[in-house]
Amino acid sequence: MSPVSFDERARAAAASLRRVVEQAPPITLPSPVGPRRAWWPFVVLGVAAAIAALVTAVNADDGSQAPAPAPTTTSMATTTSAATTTTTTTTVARGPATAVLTLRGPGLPDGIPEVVRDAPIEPTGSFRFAPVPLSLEGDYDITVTTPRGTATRTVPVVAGESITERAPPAPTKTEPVTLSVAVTVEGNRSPITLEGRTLVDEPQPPSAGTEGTPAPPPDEMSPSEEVSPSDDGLSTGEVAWGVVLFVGLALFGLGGGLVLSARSPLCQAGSNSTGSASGPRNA
Amino acid sequence: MIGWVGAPALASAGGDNGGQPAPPGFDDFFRRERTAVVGLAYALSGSRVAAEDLAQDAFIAAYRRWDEIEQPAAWVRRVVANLAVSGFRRRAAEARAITRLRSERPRSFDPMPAEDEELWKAVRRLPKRQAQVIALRYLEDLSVAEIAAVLDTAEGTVKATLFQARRSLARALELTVEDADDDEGGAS
Repeated sequence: MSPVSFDERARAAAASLRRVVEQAPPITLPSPVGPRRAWWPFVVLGVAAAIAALVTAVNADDGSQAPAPAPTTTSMATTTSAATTTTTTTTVARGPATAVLTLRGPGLPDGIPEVVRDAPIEPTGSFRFAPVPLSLEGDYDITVTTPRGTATRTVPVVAGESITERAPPAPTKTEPVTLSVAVTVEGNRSPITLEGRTLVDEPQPPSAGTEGTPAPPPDEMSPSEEVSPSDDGLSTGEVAWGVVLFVGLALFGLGGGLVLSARSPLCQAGSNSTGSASGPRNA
Repeated sequence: MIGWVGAPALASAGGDNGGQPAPPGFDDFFRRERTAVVGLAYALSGSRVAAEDLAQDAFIAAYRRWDEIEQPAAWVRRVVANLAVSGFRRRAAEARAITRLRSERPRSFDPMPAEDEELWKAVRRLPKRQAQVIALRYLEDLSVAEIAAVLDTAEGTVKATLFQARRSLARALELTVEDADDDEGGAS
């Protein structure tokens, strides 16, 4: 028996394989071809979202650091009041240094006709006023002053009819109220919104007073309430979250791109393969 | 006939042409080359069902770059040869094909003779470039020059690769190697 040559075996195997391919039963491809699965939009979206998250974290003002300034609802002896959050917006000129808030209204503690707060304006454009005590509903005049302009608005603080069931009973007549003050400062190029929040009077503990007895007004501008300039900066947690978001979204984008690029034969074929080949004999 | 997606389906599926008819010549090219390209993918991947998907990917790539490709037959073979020897892509194509076939009626393929199957298994154990050269040489019946064109490499490299591949396969399969004049064209 003569030894079999490789060429003979290879030709026989090739013919066998061709027969298998040609005699294969019909194949139905229900949805064989979809639109081009471009992978790069996922990368772009991921990076863009990551940048947006980082920018958001950087631009976040101190609201997230403030001690729970959410509107607080409380009930009194026979009436129910809902804390009201009101935003007033006006335009003043850009000015450095300090923003001054002056608040006048019927709900200020006895003997205090007005409350004046000042807060440094950070380079990021944010400032924060210390809590202001309010005890009754009514119209309050809010004046926000910067060195180059003043804006005054009357902000109504109204009693609502709705009752928040989970609201704790009012320990005193000092009604927690949250006010938000937004000031738009026009710059040379584009407006920047300065926002002051946290005009809130923290609820007093139940032992602070009895119903019908006004609680002692909180210390105005106590050291603990003052806002230090460093408070307007980014905390370590914010930076960490920003980094985590950035990395996570970037990985999401890149991962999606890699997965979809695996579907693209062009990545394997290479861009330099276009049109440079000469055809085989059956081309 | 294999119920392969045809060029009209490619055009209507939202390709770059936005639903326009297939570019001139693509349909004929597709029908002419389909079986050979599937066979090449089968030889290099070892999976009949994955070969269908790999070939389809190659044809879709050719469809999208139809106006840029001067020699589509060589180009699509290069693409499918690269796809088929890539383990990741081959497995991905096989997974897709299996998923697709689960919803269809059972199919069976006529198996190759055992000794032929053994030869192709040995081919697939070769280095990628050697496997590509062997498949193009014996299955596609291409000359050294044509293989060099398909793989975008030098003819001397193809000759050397082909020599090494033959020797390795002959040793593995206990066959003899004859001196072949690779300059004269195809294997047959």
